[in-house]
Amino acid sequence: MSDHNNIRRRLRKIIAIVFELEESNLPDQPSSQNVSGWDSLGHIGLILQVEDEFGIRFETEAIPTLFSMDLLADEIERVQQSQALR
Amino acid sequence: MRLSVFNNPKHLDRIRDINARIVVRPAQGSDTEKVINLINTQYDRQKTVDYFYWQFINPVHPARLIVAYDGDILAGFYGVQIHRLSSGETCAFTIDLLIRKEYRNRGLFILLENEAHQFALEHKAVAITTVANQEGMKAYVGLRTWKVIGTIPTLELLTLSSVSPGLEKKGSLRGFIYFSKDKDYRYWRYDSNPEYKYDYLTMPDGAFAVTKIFQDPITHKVFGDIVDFESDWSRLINLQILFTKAIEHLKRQGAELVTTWALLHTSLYSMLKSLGFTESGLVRHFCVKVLKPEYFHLYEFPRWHLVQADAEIY
Repeated sequence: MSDHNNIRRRLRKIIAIVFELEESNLPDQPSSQNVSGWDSLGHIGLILQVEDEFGIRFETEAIPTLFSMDLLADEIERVQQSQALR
Repeated sequence: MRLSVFNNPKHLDRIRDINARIVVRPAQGSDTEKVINLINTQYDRQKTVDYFYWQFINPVHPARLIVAYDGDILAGFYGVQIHRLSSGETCAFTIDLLIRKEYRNRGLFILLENEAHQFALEHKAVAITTVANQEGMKAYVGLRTWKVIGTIPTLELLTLSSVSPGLEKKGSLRGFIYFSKDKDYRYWRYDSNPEYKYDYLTMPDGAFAVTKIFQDPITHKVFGDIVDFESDWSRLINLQILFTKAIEHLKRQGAELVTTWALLHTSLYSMLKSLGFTESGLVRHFCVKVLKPEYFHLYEFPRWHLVQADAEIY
């Protein structure tokens, strides 16, 4: 499985746990638009959980923009690559 | 399993880190203009400088407005007041939460709430409470350290002619927990209120109701609210007489609609229904965060009695 798909698989699990949903009930493209509870506070709770799970720190400016699993996955990859280069 | 990420000191530190540019502190008089400007850009209900001074600079009970600044920009604020419960304990009550749109989604509310929590502890409060609308309620649910313990229906009476002549004689409001209001508090809350004008309707036995007339600036409809009352609560019939007088008083002032609060588990609710009041569909949510384990009973909504005046918007 590629890193890209692996990140998405792990993200789906985290989103399901944070918002107390069955993973099978999550939309294909989970986002603040289609996941109940993914509001302002739900978002920061998710960010903290994702940071813990992936051992990363998002840039402050990016945090308020990561409102979908795809955006989160892209940003995780970007941060991981940036950390690997250091 | 609910994740209480905001209870975790490590996560609180991370939220502080995310908001590193933000300075959170108690408001001062010099913050007035920025606070009022932010409120008035967000809500139809316009606030005045007088409101700010009355509510937070010259309150009768300890109160604090906590402000969050990014440089010169007011990013948000959150108010907390200290009250006394009928059971004798100190209890905090939060009001006026607002975060500028550009500063949402980064956990600023958690920092403001943490400051309110500290203020409550400084005043030995056993709990923090609030009355929230639907959007506010979601924020408290999101914190996961608060509980939304019940719904407060607004009851309304459309016409005086619908007042029932029958008297509901059973029941009592004794034993409920409520926010105590002494003479000084009521003077501050009603007589020196810069936004609304209230009337006291007094009965020969000393019972009284506090009413408010409000005219919608757009529809010009006149509404009357029974926001507070005090009576011999062991005799519900006295309350019924008091409410009937208050309704008549409001009708004489031109009120087309009379509203008040009553919680479903109280005999006040059934008494008001017998007078012809119906649920308006407008509800508020009572949210509680108990600070000391020995007061967990405050999470039990059937123990509470609340009046409209407990919320600052009435």
